Amino acid sequence: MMTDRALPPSAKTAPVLQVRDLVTEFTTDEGRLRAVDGVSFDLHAGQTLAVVGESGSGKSVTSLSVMGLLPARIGRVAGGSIKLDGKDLVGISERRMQRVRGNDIGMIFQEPMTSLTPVYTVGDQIAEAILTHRDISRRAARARAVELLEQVGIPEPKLRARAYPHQLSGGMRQRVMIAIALACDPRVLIADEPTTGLDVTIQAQILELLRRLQAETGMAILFITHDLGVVAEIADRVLVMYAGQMVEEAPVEALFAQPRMPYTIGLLGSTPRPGASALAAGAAPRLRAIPGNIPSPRALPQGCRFHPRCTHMREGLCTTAAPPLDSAAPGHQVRCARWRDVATQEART
Amino acid sequence: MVFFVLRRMLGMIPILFLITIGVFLVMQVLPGDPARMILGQEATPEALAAVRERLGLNQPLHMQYLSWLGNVMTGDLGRSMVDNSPVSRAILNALPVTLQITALALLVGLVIGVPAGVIAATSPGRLGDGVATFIGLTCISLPGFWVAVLLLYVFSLWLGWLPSSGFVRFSVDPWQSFLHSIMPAIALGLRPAGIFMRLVRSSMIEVMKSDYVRTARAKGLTARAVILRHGLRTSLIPLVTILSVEFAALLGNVVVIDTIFGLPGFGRLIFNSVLRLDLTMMQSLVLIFAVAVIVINLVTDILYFILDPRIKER
Repeated sequence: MMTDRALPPSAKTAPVLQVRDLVTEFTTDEGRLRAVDGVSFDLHAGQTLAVVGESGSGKSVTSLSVMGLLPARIGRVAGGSIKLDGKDLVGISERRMQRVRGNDIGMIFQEPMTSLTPVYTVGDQIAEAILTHRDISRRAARARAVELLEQVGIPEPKLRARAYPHQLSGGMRQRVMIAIALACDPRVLIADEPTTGLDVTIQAQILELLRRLQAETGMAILFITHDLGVVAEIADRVLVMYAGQMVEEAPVEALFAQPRMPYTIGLLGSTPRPGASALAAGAAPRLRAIPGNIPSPRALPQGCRFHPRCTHMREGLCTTAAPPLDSAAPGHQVRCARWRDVATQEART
Repeated sequence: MVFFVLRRMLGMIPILFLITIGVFLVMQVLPGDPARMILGQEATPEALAAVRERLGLNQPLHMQYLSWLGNVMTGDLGRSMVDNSPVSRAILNALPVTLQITALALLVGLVIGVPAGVIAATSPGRLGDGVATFIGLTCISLPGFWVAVLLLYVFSLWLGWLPSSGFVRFSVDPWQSFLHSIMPAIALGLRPAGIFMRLVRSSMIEVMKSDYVRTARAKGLTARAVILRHGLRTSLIPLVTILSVEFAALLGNVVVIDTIFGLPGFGRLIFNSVLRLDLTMMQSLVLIFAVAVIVINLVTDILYFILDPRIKER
């Protein structure tokens, strides 16, 4: 089933979603804050791109920018392009964006417990998504909703369609959310931390479901998460974000085998991975936390934004010039002035 | 659903029972001798005794209560102490007037308050919010009697569009009945309008921030569908609570409004019965109001049940 997961995206097929130099700003009392600063990526059909980072890294804002769901009048895409099948979504009218949302791009969220309207049945909420974009009868939409419930693995879909959200468990509700997102066969599914807050067994089920649905429909998935364990499960490529910037982008195997950016290395070090680190280091696995916190966009450090927390920081180099994205290998980009030194040092330890 | 309503209605019985006891006892505690009130100060002791005998006032208290309760249960609320006419008839005459005015007043409140609340909630901190909040505050702050006088001055005296006083029953002439009801309904309904506006605004601002409104937007719904189907629909639940409270408050305010507009409603009955110390009438009115509040609470519960599917589980 996962035969072509590891393959790099073919250069011949055009990406479904192409984001270039995305800049998203928020207007606050203290002035303009840049939450996303120059993010670029390609997302191909049937592929999953994971966007990874701590809270405040700009990963969710990236997904909301693509969806056109930034808080009205506060957030706006200030630069760059978001091309869906070659057509730029930046700056198009709200009316046209409504035709994209739920139709070309579906989205699921972190909180399945509160993401469904409590006063309507789940069947109606799925049917509503279909009726918004398709010119079909209410009855046909209801029937399609039951099919979708079955497709996302809900037992007794006919009965469940008449259930209210509070009658379903968190895992079931997330399945309903997926059914809503997939109601109109979108080309792209944005999953914003869809497994956070679910039991581990349910998490695995939801990931398995997303993989199966992707194999069935060929949709592209933009998967936002802070959990590298989940990334290893589902992603083809990984984009690591820090303080609004992309700091590393690589195929998932390359990223786990040879992380280049000290921040990525830190993230991997602070993720429990039974076996892997023990084998590599020949010692008991130890978690290494990254010291400090992600900087606020109000007070970004000079130079490399990660340097105050970086163990490889070199005074004068990292503290003055902001490092550009550098190509460490084909399809492997890294934003670090010292990535070559870091690689040799990490290899020694 | 039927089971739920039946259970609630059964639950009302003990409350009603307690209310009848309360009403009865309060009337006993009030100063004044009904027999003397009926016959006047110059009545002979024999005449007083005869009246007491006729009204059952010389019986023990619990016997008086039981016979009164028995009569009330059969719809006989007794006779007025002033003119000896049946109280039930007076109340049945006043009931449709007051129901019509208060229902229209609530309608005025909803028609002004809910849209203003929605407008305010969907543009928090901006012009629409400012205007709607100003209107809401004005509605709450203006005293009903003052609005009533102002309306009378403008629409009756000055423009001559609406009748200044009196009432025409709906069954007699619906249009005239409506014209007679407009100003009283507005004078009564402005306060609820302001309260509904503030409530809808605050609960909807919360709802619009909720995850499920975000989901609705992610589905590609129009802003209108998001606001009305997902935002407003769930904001209506707290509104139902306030609706019942405000309805009870309206019943109290009809005294002033009936007097100003010369309406033959409950307000006038209350006013006259207090003025003339008509104890039977007062007792019956208090009972009717208490029952009305209980019935409204029942209706509220049923509305909750319809509006919020989560209640069925509890």
